[in-house]
Amino acid sequence: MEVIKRIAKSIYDYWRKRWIKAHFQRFKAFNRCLQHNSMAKLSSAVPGSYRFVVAYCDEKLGRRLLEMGFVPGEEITVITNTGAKGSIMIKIKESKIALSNKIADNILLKRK
Amino acid sequence: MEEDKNIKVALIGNPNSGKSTIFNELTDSNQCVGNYPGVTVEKKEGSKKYEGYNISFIDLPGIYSLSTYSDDEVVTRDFLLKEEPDVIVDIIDAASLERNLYLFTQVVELDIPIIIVLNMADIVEYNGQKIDEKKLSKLLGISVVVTIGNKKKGIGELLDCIIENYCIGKDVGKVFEMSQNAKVDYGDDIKTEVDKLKVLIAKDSLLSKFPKNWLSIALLDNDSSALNLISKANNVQEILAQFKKSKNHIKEHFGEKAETEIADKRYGFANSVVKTVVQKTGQKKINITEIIDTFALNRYMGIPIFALAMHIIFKFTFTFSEPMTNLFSLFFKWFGSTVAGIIPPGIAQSLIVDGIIGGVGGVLVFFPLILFMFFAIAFFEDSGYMARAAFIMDKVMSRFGLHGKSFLPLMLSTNGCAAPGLLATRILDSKRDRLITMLVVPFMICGAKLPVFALIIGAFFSVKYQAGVMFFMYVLSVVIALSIAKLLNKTILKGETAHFVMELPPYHMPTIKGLLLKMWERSWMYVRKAGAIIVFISILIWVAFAYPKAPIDVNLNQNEQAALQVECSFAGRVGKVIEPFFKPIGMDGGRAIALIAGFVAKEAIVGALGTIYAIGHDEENSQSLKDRIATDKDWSPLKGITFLIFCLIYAPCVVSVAVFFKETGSSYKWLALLVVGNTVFAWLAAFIVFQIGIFLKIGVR
Repeated sequence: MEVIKRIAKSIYDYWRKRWIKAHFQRFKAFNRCLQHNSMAKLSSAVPGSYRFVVAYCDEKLGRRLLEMGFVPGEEITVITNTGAKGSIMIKIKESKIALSNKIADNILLKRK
Repeated sequence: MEEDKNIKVALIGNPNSGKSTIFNELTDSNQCVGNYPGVTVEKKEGSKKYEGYNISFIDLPGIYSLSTYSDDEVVTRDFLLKEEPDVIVDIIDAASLERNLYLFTQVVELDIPIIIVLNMADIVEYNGQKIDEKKLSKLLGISVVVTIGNKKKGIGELLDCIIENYCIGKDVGKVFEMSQNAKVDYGDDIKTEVDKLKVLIAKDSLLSKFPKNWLSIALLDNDSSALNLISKANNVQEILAQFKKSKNHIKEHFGEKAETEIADKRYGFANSVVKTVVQKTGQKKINITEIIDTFALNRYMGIPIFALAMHIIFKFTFTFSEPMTNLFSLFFKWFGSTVAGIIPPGIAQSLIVDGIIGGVGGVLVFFPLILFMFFAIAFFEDSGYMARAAFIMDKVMSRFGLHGKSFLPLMLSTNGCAAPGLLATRILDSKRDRLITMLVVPFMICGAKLPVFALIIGAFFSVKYQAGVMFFMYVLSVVIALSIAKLLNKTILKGETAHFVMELPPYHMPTIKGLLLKMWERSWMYVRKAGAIIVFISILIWVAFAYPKAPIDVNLNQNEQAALQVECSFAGRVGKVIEPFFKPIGMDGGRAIALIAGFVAKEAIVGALGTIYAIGHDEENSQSLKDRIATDKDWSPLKGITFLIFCLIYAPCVVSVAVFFKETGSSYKWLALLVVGNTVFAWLAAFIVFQIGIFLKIGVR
């Protein structure tokens, strides 16, 4: 019993460390990117408020984003970001919009 | 009073802004509504007589703007441009006023009388804001009506407003003047370019039919439909040259593309309107949507919660419908024997008792099941969880080459019907995604297949395991659909799935009335189908089994006589011929006939089985169809499961096939793939399962 407990604890600790490290690194990398380039990708964004800069994509999607409210300078609130291969939920112009990470990769943000 | 005048009113608005709810209130009809974008994919008409006017309302699919790319949006734009409605009613979700006003700024340029409807006003109040509708009306010079769609508020005012605007609408100059304030001021630079284009457009007779102002702005906006219109004109070259010049000029001047600049101006206009009109009245209350979403859309809990929600649907349906289903089956048994007592034995008795009551009763027994299932599904649709489910499933779906939005059509056909599911694929932006989704939609267990599953599972599994087995069948249907999608993705429909962008509507508590209405409407369709098609098929199958009459042999007892009759009948002979094909998957001729009947409508499988077993057994100890199958020597649990797997996969019903044919643009190639491919695949799958089952002796009697 004691052994099982120990194994469980070590597994838990390992995952916890990894999780914290990954998130911390993401956070650090994102902030550094914002500082140096004054812009960063939406796909790596930490929850918070930003402003939209530009989206690099084909015309069709660009237009859809435009009419959903992605105008340069518009405030974007990132609610959740589930990381690579996941999806991002943002709030723009009072409505909640879900984006896949593929699109978010081509969207640039700047500091509010 | 003058004689009746016809007014054509178009209802437009952003997706999920409540157009269909308002439409239902206006026309007293029960159209399908739900709390996810893309419920309406086809225009729907309804009419109302009001103060001597004959008003016909057209409910259009939701759009974000007039420039379009998915197929449901094309429906809306084509209607507005080609049919020329007398009055446009722009339904605005008051909770996101700014984004909704963006569409308004485009539509107002069409120079058609327009009314703004501020819907869902109660949600705005809940958020601690207030919209001053009088100020808005004054500012834009356009009538504004406040409604709360699901509480019937403001509908009368809206009708008055429509008539008032119709009368104004006859005077074109006045409309133009009135809407002047509501139009976006694009600034002098864009305006001069627009004017230049306008002059050229006015020269052509074909183009001058369309609102010039809109057309020239749409051109600068790089709208594909506007470009299409232009290409038909006589002076194409001239216009295109000017168009390029104007675009370059704007780009040089603003340093941005023309479309970005125009959108920016439109949003600037909308923003200033919102600033003057919306007042803060109090503190924003706690947002329930946010709280639920942190759990429901969580990275780790999202999919488990979704699975749990689905399981609750099945648990709910099966536990509550079980006693009622039993009651119904008792009723039909009693009804059958009573009718048999009244009508003297003979052909008429056999036709009515075996053919009609046996067939239709077999289908109608499952009415409570359908009722509860629709109720549970309606709850999830109206609460707003469905859109979230699409969002959660996007991750899974994209691995199989499907789009997250494909989930909505799939869900619609699960327990609903494949035909609306096929129509709902219009919300998908890319052709490829749409085609893949349409090919896998028929694999889902629709409301018509449900009775077949309930019958067979009910016959071979104890009550404790029924919900579990049913759940497993649903999982199986999803697994099959996903693997077929993957297969298509790898072979004939290669390519990337389109990106996933979707608006998530706020949660709200569904109204009991709305749920009951939806439940009733869908279930009623089921009953109506049982009343018309199933009666017809039942009679047909009865005739096929009852004629020609077998010679009466005195030496045989009643059961053997019945078996002889089946052997001699048309259906028995046809069954004998096709039996070799079905023998390797454990089916006799009768079941093969039932499956062929199922091609017309899936409920007919149950109806046909009912008729077949009613003829094949003597009348005295009449059992319910379920018990007959459970005790029949020729059935075994393995054969039941094989039968279900075949049912699940093989060619969809005629209605779905017809819709599929139309929606794929009348392509025989895809049609053949759907009908023949599915049937062959079904046979192979059933063959493998049956042979493995025989080999391992699982579920064999």
